[in-house]
Amino acid sequence: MKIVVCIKQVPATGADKRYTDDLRLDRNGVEAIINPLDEYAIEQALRLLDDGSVESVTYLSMGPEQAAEALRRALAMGGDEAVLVTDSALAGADEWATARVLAAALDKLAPDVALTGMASDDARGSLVPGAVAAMRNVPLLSYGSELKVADGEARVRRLSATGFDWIAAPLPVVASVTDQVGEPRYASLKGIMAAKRKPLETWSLADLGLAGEDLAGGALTHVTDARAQEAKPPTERIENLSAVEAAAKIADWLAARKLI
Amino acid sequence: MANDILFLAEFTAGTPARSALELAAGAAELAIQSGGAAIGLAYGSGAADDAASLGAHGASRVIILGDDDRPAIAHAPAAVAAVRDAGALALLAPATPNGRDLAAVLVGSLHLPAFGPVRAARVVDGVLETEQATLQGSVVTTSRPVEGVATPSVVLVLANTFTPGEGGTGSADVSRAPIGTESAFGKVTVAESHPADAKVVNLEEATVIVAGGRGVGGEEGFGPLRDLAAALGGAVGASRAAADAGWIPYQLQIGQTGKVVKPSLYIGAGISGAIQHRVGMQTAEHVVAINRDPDAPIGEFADLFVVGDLFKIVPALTDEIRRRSGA
Amino acid sequence: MTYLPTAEHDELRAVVRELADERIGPRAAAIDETSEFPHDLRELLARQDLLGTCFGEEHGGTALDTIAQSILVEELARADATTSLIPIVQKLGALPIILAGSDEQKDRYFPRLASGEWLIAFALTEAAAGSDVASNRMRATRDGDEYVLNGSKRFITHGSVADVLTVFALTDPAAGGRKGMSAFIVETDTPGFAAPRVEHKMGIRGSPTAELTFDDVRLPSANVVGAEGEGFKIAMETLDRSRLSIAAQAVGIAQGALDAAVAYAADRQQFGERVVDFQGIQWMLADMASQTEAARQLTYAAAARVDADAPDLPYWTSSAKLVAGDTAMRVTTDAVQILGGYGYITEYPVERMMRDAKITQLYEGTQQIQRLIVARQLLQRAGVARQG
Repeated sequence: MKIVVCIKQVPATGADKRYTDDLRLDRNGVEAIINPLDEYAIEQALRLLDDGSVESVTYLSMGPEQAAEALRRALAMGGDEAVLVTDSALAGADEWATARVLAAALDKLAPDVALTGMASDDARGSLVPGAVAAMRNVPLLSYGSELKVADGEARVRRLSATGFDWIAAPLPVVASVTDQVGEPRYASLKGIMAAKRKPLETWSLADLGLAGEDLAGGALTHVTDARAQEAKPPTERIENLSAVEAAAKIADWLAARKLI
Repeated sequence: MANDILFLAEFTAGTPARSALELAAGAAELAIQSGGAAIGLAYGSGAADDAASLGAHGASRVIILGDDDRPAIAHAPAAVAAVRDAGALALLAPATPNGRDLAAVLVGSLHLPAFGPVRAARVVDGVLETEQATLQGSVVTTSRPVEGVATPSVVLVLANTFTPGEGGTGSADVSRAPIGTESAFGKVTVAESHPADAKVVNLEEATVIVAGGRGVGGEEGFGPLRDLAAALGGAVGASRAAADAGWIPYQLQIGQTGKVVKPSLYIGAGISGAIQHRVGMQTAEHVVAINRDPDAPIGEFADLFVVGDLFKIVPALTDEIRRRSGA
Repeated sequence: MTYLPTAEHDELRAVVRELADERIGPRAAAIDETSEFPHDLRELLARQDLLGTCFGEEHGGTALDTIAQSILVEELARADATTSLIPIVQKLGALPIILAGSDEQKDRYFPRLASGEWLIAFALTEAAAGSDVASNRMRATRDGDEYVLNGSKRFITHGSVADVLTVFALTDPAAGGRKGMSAFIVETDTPGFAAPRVEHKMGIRGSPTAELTFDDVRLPSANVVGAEGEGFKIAMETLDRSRLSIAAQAVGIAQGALDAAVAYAADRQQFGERVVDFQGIQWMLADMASQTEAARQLTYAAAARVDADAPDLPYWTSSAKLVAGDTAMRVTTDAVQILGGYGYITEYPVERMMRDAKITQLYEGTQQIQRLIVARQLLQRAGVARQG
């Protein structure tokens, strides 16, 4: 029973209030990290490895060569091996091309579960797991707050508007999990040391039987205008009043806008 | 037809979801602009029973993809076939997990352009145009499909972007999609169903939301917020911090990984306003924030920022509202 | 001899810092206020393999070099001095066995220490024997195939939470402390052992500093570390190395205070300007930063020499502990000063850091003892004979 977790490397979120980068030798800024929402997918996969539901966890990423760092970090959390698909023809690939490449790589790896995190809120990013499932003709179990694998079947716990359901499908499946899986583990020191020795393969498009032309075509949509949000009137503030006075002022404000 | 506007309509036990009514109205609006027809793609238990009623909300035709209670994704193959045959200009899908699932399969199978989640959509000179706020919310981008790409464009639409009409007298023509070939998506089933107690409100449909964050301090702390929500006829929501701490169920979490809401009034108490939460509520019409910290980020984008102790101000506000409404 | 931190050192620092910022720093104030030992953080450190860095891989440790161990302590101490003591004392307690223990003793204890399942502490100090180690009075009397320990110890860090101790006692009182002391391994569930009280302290409040009593505590003779009579030498060799952990702790405390002072000064406005833009404040910060860095680099230089088993190792480790401890006290005091009134209240962390810093001038050899050690080494190098 094998899981492949698809992860993405992204630039670290900028400027924390950390004044201590003087301790580091010469790093000119952008450190790359695992997309935070993917960490939940990694955590879910590792829990299934810990409890014996699956026997191996492989990480898959598509990106520039530097994306291997994200894969090493994932391996430091746990898991067995990683695959990086990298090719100069993939520079600037859009989400459809990404789905195409991931689908081909997953077909080659043939896992029982191909697992992703909730992608970014952006439409195109969030549609990648479903697009991959469609391309591979494999059932999709998405937006799970928990994933279980047993008896040739996978199921996810999905919150509905008011409750939850367990949605199931026979293996193999494509699944995605949300941050409700629970806190991702920290990489332990031994994990970090072991990660250096775990296998990390690099594949090109040719290894997947794809050519640049299969993916070309560029973006299907384009931005035609960008404007600053309508200048909102400055925030009105209420402070230094007693609770009763503040409440009266808030009520006045609501009434003026016909909200009460 | 080339200028038709499709929309997804989800049904449960014969009742259309609010998103179905909103998108019907939206599709009708766009169809007037494009000179085409608004066509619903209905799925879910009891869809066949009530599909025609979508006509009262703007649809001229409805195609039933399936009217069993299988998960939405099981209807994806029928959706693909119907969309391929329809040759329309755009397809509106709700920006919910089910809507995204179906949209994803359409995009992946038919290599369609995708937009959203959008806060506005229209057809201008026969071309689809959408508006989307960026993560930071400070920039609004307008997008269109590149010339010559496949159609329809798939558009994810946020709740409360379109307003359902009062319901006219129209009745839509209903037809069934052809039974599709066996596909992997048909193998997805609901293994167990756990509806929650009826008290949990679907935040996406609420017009007034009172939300609590870390500052509420615990499960009991939500009591005053519930009272305020009740006084305003609204629902209670929360930030991720409160959900992670177990103070309220995850269904009430508003934010990037939770619900995206668009109420006319949002009151955030003890919420700092981190970007991940903001994304979930920034399109609310009126934002009021109550926080002890005068520098809380939420103060920068709220319409009204009240600095003070929420445990004193919220009950006082509840009392004042009740007093004014004569209760 | 030169040394440079490697990419692995940087990676370790980043990992520990993330853990410290997310899980340890937020607990520091509460730990100080309640004076409770942070069992949850001990478990977290154990899970992350951070309590086994001084043990070999054959025992389940990660065998990090001494610079890496210093970085670990430094980053933990930056967030919370109390928590940094957990790996510090784990090493301190184990060093006698590392330096002089038998393979059997190492195999018996190290796996559980490396995993963090057990904690170990170092029991040398007595009420009447602090700096003057040789005047220890605790006795270990041979009785057949066992030793019987009687006496008490004071100011033993983690003495009340440890599962095992390395204890120093006189096997030959007539020979005096230097020649007649031996080192023993005592498991704390042995009958006759008790930790009747812990001290109320100025700082490192979450770290239990215990008084220990031994009332006819019986040990198998296999529990003596090294040979009888070697205890004093083992204790000194232990402290030669363990004091470097305190240097690293002091560097971390100083860095934490410096970071807090910079952040505060950048935010606080007075007289229409940011406090950090006042030249007087910048001069203070510059002194704090350069002195912290000097202490840090001296600590790493000493660490490199520990790994190289340099013959003048004590000169280096004592210098580092001396400089770092005094630096931590100065930097934390200045940090309180920069925060002004806010520096004095518990809502901000610097007053706690100042209280925590003081101990680095006191334990594992007071600054005065360190000066004696440095002076002795200095005079030896200079060929100046010792008087008397």
